[in-house]
Amino acid sequence: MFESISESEGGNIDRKDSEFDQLMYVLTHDFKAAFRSVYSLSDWIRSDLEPHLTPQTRSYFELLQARVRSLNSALEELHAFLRADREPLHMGKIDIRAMMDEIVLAAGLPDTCRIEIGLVSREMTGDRERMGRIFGELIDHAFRNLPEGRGCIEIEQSEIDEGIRFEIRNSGPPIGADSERSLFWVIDPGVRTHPGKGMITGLAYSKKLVESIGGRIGVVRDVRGSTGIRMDIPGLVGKGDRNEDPDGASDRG
Amino acid sequence: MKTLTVLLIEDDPVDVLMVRRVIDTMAVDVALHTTDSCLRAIDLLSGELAGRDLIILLDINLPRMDGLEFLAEIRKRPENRGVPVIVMSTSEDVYDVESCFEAGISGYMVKPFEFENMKELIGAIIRYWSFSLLPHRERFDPTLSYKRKKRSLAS
Repeated sequence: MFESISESEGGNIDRKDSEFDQLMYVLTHDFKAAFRSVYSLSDWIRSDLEPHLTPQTRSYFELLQARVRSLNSALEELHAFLRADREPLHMGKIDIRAMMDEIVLAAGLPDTCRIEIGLVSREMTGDRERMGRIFGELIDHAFRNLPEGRGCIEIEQSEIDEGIRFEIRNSGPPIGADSERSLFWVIDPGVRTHPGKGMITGLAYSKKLVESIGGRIGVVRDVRGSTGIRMDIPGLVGKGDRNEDPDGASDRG
Repeated sequence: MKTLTVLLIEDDPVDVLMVRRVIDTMAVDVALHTTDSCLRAIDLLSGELAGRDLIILLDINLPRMDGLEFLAEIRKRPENRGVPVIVMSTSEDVYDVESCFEAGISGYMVKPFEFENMKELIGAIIRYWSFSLLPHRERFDPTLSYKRKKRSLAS
């Protein structure tokens, strides 16, 4: 009896996986191809008609293209979100300092934003590419919440019993209670239809990535009311292999 | 003067149009053949296009015979074993990319959203293979852009 139930459940899982793969196929190929076609054709029509366009018709083309671009971005976000926990992990030793330097460089933040990194460990075990994606999202989120992109983002790392902890804070206003509640929502119906905005809101993608490596993520508040994002990630840390960098931090900006 | 032949296997008419537009702006002489069917492409390879300096731009998702089946088929034939095949796909999925390389492709291009980016990528691919496949003195005609422009104005 037990075996037959397991087989049946196994069959359901296989069927769901197969349905999911079909959905992914349609999302990736058919919809993206259609959006690209509409965008390119409208671009060519616009350039052919350019001498005859009035400011109003030109603005219609711009609206049309902005909307198609927005739909394409939404589709890409949705695709990345749905795949986040389905890709295999490539575990290995990670040099945390080198990884953080690379992530900060890739973030390409303007000089008005400074990043301060405090590390206590030299090494961890994990999937470097996925860690890069997680930090990329978190740094981007922290930057977007800095008024006029000016201020400081702090990344602190510590060791915990189960692995490694990172906290990301910025010098902007603290995360309000309302924002905290919706921070990890997958889709915010009020946002998704606005041109130029994405579909997957806040940190839902980061959360899924963190959970895909067995970690936890949430908002942390200290006694002064300052807020940040904390994530605990399982991973072997080089115990006793503390960073001997005397100031233990690197500045950018 | 020898020309590079590009066989485009693509069932999306807008993507065909894009590749045609890219080639029309290039200073490398390219003969473009298009088909929306891998079966027809196999016929072309053993008939009209046999023995040409050729690259294949291949869409993977095609009806009846898909791109991977097509690759397996042409790699069995000694005369087509060395033909460079570049996959053009909307998929960035690592499994898709890996399975294409395992099947013996020479390059994988994710179709960009913007035509300008598509133009740069396809242009780079064609230039690269044009330089790799054709002898130096036969691959470049400095007056070609001018001739094309003249033809285009005349038409």
